Amino acid sequence: MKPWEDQIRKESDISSEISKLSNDDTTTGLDGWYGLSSYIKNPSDLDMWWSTYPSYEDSSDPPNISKLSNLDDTITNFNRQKFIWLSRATRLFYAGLPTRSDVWWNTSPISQYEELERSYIAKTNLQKIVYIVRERSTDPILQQINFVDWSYLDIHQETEQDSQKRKVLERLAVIAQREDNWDGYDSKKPTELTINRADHFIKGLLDNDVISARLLQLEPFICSDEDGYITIECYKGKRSLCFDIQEDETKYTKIERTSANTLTQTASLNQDNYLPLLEWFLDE
Amino acid sequence: MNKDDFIENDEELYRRYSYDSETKVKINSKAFFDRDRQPSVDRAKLRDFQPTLSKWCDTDGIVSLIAGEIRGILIENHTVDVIYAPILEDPKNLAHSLITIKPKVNVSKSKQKEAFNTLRRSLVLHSTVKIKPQEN
Repeated sequence: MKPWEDQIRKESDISSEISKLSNDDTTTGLDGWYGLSSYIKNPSDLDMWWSTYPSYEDSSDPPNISKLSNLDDTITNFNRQKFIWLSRATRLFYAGLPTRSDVWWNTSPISQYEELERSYIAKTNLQKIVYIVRERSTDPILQQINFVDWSYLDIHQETEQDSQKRKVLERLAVIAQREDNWDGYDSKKPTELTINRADHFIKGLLDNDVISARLLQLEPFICSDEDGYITIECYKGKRSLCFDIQEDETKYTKIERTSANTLTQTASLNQDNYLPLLEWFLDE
Repeated sequence: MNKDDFIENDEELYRRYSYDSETKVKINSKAFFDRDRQPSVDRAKLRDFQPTLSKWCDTDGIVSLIAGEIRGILIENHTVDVIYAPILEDPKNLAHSLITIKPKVNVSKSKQKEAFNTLRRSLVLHSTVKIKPQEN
């Protein structure tokens, strides 16, 4: 018997839990559970089960933010259940991680990690990724865990830039939850279309490593206004670049303080002025 | 108009702002939000150049601005000014003034809102933090 097998519950117990889960609205329709049933039929295929996780299938562009939040719920539940079948040492280790929803589990080939990570972080606001790899970890803590030969753990630590990106996306997610009159002054909530547009716009900025590194340092201020527009404000020295995102248009405002006065300009953002504006702002 | 009623270009002004759970002590355009689109400021000289006197509560932060710089904010089809508007009734504030923005021509409501947002964002660039706000 492999060391982890004594931790595995009886199949009947697991089936009972799965039947409860499949009735859960937050998980129905996502494909993460299909791999789970494979696991039950053949517990030794643990890595097979690990390799299946709720994947995000959304062809809409920009992506549907409400689906993303459902996905997060699903991952939370998914990992909580997966937790049950792990060895005690593993459970103890993972109990030390801050929350289940900030962990992504994956056993894809290591060559695909970078690409997967980039796409996954871009789609969710997860802050930490846990990779299950078939290589011995160099992490001293992980080495203490009595893992058997089927798997070792490696942990991707969140970088400062990852953290800043996550905070920006989390901020947008908070704004997306606003209701009408959220400020007590009859301000409108942002529509789903506006949120999607903002989400797409922000992720576009974050995808460019050079731009995002410099913008994130400035800690852009993201908010929604009385008409439900999403506003992004960046300040750098004597310049400011702001975006007002509506359902059907994004406007920019550039402001520059000179020795004589302060010059301002507001206009529609388009593909032609997008990069020049960012260059103007960041090269101050 | 009394000579003292005019705010000279070199006059310092105080604006109070609150701690923001998102941005902490960092100032942004929210600090200049006003439903009537005329943010209040205090004339520093009428506060004895003590920014603390412009606080509403202990945790408030205070920034200072210069009247002439505010008037120098150029926004398409609009004029920006700072006018003295003392409050004579309780709670009395003889230093009270207003930053105003008025359209020079007929402009739509959305353009007026846009102009006010630009003003608020411009004011951030002209703000010097005198007292940092504190978390409530």
